Amino acid sequence: MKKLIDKIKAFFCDDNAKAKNAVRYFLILVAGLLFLFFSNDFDLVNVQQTAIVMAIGIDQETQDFSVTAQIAVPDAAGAQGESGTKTVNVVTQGKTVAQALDKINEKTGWYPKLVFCKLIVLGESIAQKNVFDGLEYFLRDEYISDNCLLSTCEGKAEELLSTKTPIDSSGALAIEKVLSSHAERVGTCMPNTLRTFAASYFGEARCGFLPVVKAEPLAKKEQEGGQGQQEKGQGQGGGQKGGKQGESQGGKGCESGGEGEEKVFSAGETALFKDGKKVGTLDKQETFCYALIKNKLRLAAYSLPYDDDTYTMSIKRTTPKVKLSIGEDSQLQVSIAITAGVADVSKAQGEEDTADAGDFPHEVLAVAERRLTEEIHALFEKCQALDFDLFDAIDKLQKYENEHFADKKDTLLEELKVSVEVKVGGVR
Amino acid sequence: MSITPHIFIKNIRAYFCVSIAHTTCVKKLSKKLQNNLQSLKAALPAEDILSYEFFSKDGVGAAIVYADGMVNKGLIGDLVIRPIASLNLKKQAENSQKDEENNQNDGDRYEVNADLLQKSLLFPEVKEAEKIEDMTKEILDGNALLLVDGIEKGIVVGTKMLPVRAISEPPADVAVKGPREGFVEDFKTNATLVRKRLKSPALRMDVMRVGRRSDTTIALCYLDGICDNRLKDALQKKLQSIDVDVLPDSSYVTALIAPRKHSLFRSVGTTEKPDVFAAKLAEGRVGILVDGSPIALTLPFTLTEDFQSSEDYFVSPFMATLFRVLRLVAVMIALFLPAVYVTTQLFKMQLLPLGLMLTIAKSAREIPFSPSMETFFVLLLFETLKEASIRMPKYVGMSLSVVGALVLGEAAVSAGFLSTPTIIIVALSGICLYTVPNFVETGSVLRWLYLIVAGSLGPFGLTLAGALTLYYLISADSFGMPPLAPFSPLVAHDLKDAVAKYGIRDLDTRPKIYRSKNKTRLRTQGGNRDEN
Amino acid sequence: MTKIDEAPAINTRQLCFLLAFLFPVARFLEAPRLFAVAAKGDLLVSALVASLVEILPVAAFLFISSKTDKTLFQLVEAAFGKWVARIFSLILCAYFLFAAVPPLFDAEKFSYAAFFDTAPTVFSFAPFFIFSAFLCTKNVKAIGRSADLCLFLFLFPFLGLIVMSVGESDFSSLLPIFSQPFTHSLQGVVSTKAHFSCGALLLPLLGRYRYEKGAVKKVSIAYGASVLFTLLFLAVFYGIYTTLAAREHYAFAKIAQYFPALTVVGRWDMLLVYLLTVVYAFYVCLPLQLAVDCFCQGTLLQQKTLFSALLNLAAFLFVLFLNQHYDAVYGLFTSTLSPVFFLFSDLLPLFLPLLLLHKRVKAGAR
Repeated sequence: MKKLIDKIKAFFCDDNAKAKNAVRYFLILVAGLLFLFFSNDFDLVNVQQTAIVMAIGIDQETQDFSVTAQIAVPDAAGAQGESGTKTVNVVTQGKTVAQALDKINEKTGWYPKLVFCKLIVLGESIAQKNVFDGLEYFLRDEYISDNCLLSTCEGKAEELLSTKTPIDSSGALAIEKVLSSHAERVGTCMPNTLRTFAASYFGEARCGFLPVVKAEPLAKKEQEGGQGQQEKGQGQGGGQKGGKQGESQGGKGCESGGEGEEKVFSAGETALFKDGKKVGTLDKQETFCYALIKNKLRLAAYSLPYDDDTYTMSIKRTTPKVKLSIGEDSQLQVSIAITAGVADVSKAQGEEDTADAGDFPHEVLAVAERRLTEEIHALFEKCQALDFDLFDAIDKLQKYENEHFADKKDTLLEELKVSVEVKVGGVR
Repeated sequence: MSITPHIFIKNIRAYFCVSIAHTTCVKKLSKKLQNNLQSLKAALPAEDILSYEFFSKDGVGAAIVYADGMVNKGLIGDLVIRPIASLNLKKQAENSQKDEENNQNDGDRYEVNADLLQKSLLFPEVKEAEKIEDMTKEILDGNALLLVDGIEKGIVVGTKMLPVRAISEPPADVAVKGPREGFVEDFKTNATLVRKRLKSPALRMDVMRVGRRSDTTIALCYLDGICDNRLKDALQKKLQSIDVDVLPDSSYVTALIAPRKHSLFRSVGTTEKPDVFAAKLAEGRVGILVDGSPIALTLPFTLTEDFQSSEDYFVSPFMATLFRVLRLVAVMIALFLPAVYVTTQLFKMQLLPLGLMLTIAKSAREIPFSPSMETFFVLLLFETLKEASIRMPKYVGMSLSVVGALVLGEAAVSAGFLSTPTIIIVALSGICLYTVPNFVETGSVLRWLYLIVAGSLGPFGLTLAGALTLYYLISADSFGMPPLAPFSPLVAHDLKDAVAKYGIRDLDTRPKIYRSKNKTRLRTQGGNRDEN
Repeated sequence: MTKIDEAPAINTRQLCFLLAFLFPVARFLEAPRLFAVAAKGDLLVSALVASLVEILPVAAFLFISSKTDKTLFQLVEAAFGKWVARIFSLILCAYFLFAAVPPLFDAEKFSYAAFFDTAPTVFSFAPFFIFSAFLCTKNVKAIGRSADLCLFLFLFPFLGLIVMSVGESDFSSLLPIFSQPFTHSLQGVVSTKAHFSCGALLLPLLGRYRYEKGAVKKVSIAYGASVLFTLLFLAVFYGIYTTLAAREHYAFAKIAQYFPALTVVGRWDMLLVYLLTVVYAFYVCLPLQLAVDCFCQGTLLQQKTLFSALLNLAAFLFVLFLNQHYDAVYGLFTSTLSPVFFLFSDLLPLFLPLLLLHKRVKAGAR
């Protein structure tokens, strides 16, 4: 026994033995690693067995969830790069989203990985219920980025993702382009991510917004494009009319979209959610106004009629400020400073006025200020009617007027008045 | 050539003295030339040991014994044989004997005076040898031995002329700017090249002979008053304690003095350039020159040395810093790229953007191997090709490279054995490793290790392997020097010449990590003037 | 004096780096979530209180170091005798094993979340114990040098991650300060005590740290930096996740993913996270290293390799078997067992200076 103890002691204490042992340990370790390396079977899901899910569509027309996974199929013979990749849509059903996603493996033999999922589209059916019934899974799972774009659509998400588009090889990638950060900067849409939408859902106001993605026929769009631009100017002159027309046309486009027909996507409208349920929609013009308040816009275009002509402003920069003051009359002060130049005028101008981003006639700026003020007022009233905290008033109440928070949080939206101050300045 | 003569002669003397000190045998010569020649022949029976017998003017027999091909025969003829052949040795001896009061008449015999004979030779490098063993050592070392009838001593004449390669630029350490001389295999030439750059009496070369059979000359070089004496003494002891049969190259010395027998990392610096060697001595390091090796050793060694090139000191500091960062990044790529490539496909696809992942996925779907196995085989192929192209004759090697790189790679991709991205990744890794030639051996092994870890344990294992390597390095001191210095332990002063390279005027003091007593390196108007 | 007592010292710089760059990483994994659960938007207040509490043991450590060169073992030995010192060492060893559990659990779950795309097997964490076993065989000098290395391994990735994530952070989420009752903040201090217990980790460094003039100032700055890093991280974390903060595990692997450029180049922020993981790995091993050290002191045995192998094997088995009960065990450590951390990391260092009053200790003082 003593010999054994001495041997053990020598094994661990003797310097020479230590050096020898170090090599032995190292060799044993390398041998073990080599075994693992070559056996290559320890619950690995490597790139050869993976279904790379690029987008997810969720519908819930019955109790069950219907999940559409747009999967990238790397094709060696196909074009190179992300855009050249073929995609397939796999539709599965389940009592929960997770159960439905697991069925992808049953159907295809691939294990779905959502790490590259950059888009979640919520169908109209689920938007009418609590969307977090379907989104909870994505927040829970550590292996899904909460940075993916979240949007809703009219009709079924499955149909939207199945839409063929000439813009990109897959619907998901084309929709991502429409919801890009550039689109956000120019105010054509209000994209949102899972994280920010969830954060607002769990906030005090429990209000959130999502862009509404629509598929529109390519040929029709082109025809309507010209009209639309004309209408836009006129429509903006006429308040919400133009926007509503656009909405209905978009809706039709989506519904009439056949399997083989190529379409383009738009996301000019914004759906409003309270407690996870859709409570209303902002049309394109309202979305633009909301973008003007919420974001700092750059290179945005805004058209307005003046003196029988249509002027299109190129907005260089905007500085929005929203301030809540609590007193006897709770008031929300919205002030927006806009710097803009002339992008175009519907009639030819004189030689001196055609310089790039030239200045407006003073009256045009005044008209723009007046119109934007009116539109923001209208937007506020619409949201107030929906009991929707679009301007983050409750959030501001909590942060900056916390002493009134307990008293006012339930009644604030009803009582709130808004004062809007829009200053539009030329670039010179 | 500008060698300080007295230092050089001193070293030569030391060289001879150490040589004698090594001898343990006591067999001596007689006064009869033929007996002595027989004894020497018995001690050195090899065919290439030649003896040439001749006579003085008055018929006294003499012989010169030498190793064929190692001596300068012209010198022997002109400066040894010719003077003796013209001497009357007998008469000289008689004259000398008359002067001596205690002269013993040995019949017909005469007593040739060895001292007088030495003075008659027109040669500066002569010394006496009494023991047969000493003489054999000198002959084998390339010197000629003069034996004269009536003298029971041999006279060693320094006519060594070993075949020496011409000084050329070292192939593994090419510099576009800066000196291009490289060490050769000859110790004396190398010592001269160093001395040429450090004409200071402080430059010491402690010469010793190591190797029971090779009897190799080793010199411990240092600048007295600048190097850390504790390190010098420790190294001296270490070198003296080496008891090895044959010492063919400096790499043997490295292996024999390294404190860690099984370390993956070098613990001794190497250089083939005398300018680098001299610069390192001037920083406070100690150097070792080994006869027969063109690679000089420097100690202590830090890993940052591998990332420094001699050229860094001859270009602008910005350029040098850029090069160093480039080397560092390249080595990181070389070590980790194949491993990261495997882990992204097996464990963590997110590390790559979707487009790139799909491109890789496209290639990978067609391949019959798993991503880890595929990378393993490509790396194996790469290392094999590299090894073969180095060993192959030059012309075959060139065609092999072409076959390997183009034909084999292209064919493997077309046949669906391997994927293009994997070949690109491994090739990139291979190229990157060669940006730091001294790190290639360690880097190759580490790359294999990391690849295996990545393929078996994933990015977590790879991160831990990296952390383990770092922790090993911070605790693997060699001659009191942590390999990661000056980063760990942090020596802020020495960061001026680590990854970033400051201008020469900023490097006015010696690196602190070498614990040099004399700190001042540059004396300028703004610099430190109190050099001791 | 044992062989371990002769172990080389660490210097003030390394002590500072330990405080500034090694200890903060312990607070980046699960602590932010625990703070958010307890104190919501007041998590900075809670973290500040936790940091202030932690100053006391650091101050006690410096005070003792300035008065004596004795190690903790020698201090106790001088005051109470050899056997008490040995028993004390073994108790401290047990504490370090106990203190290693929360970071080990954090490291395990974090590794599954940050290093894999799909849930791996529990054995995927096993290599950590090989790493840890290696580190446990090293001495205090290596701990000091690892702290030096942490300067680079911590600062570069930490600042990188903060720069990448700060744009996405809405700091107004932290308003109003003191919106929550102070008891909530205190609850945060209690639940994160396991992550703010560096006081105990400094104890075995007594006598191996060479006190220098001006050390108090340097250590104060280092500790201030540590608090600053922690608060900055928490602010960015809460600014990004706001109402979701309480459900975000291991946020530091995720906070930089919102950086716009990453959509083009892939999740290269993970490389910064992996670099910080190296620092975290050093941190997790620290209590285990110190446990081996204390065990060797307590038993006067020198088989560090054997003990580190056995200890890490035990730790692996512990993690393996309790993996299924992660929430229960973790909950226990962050609530019921919190007083143990207070006892060893705060109260014990505060009482140690009293030993200096003992006449036998006084005799050996500077």
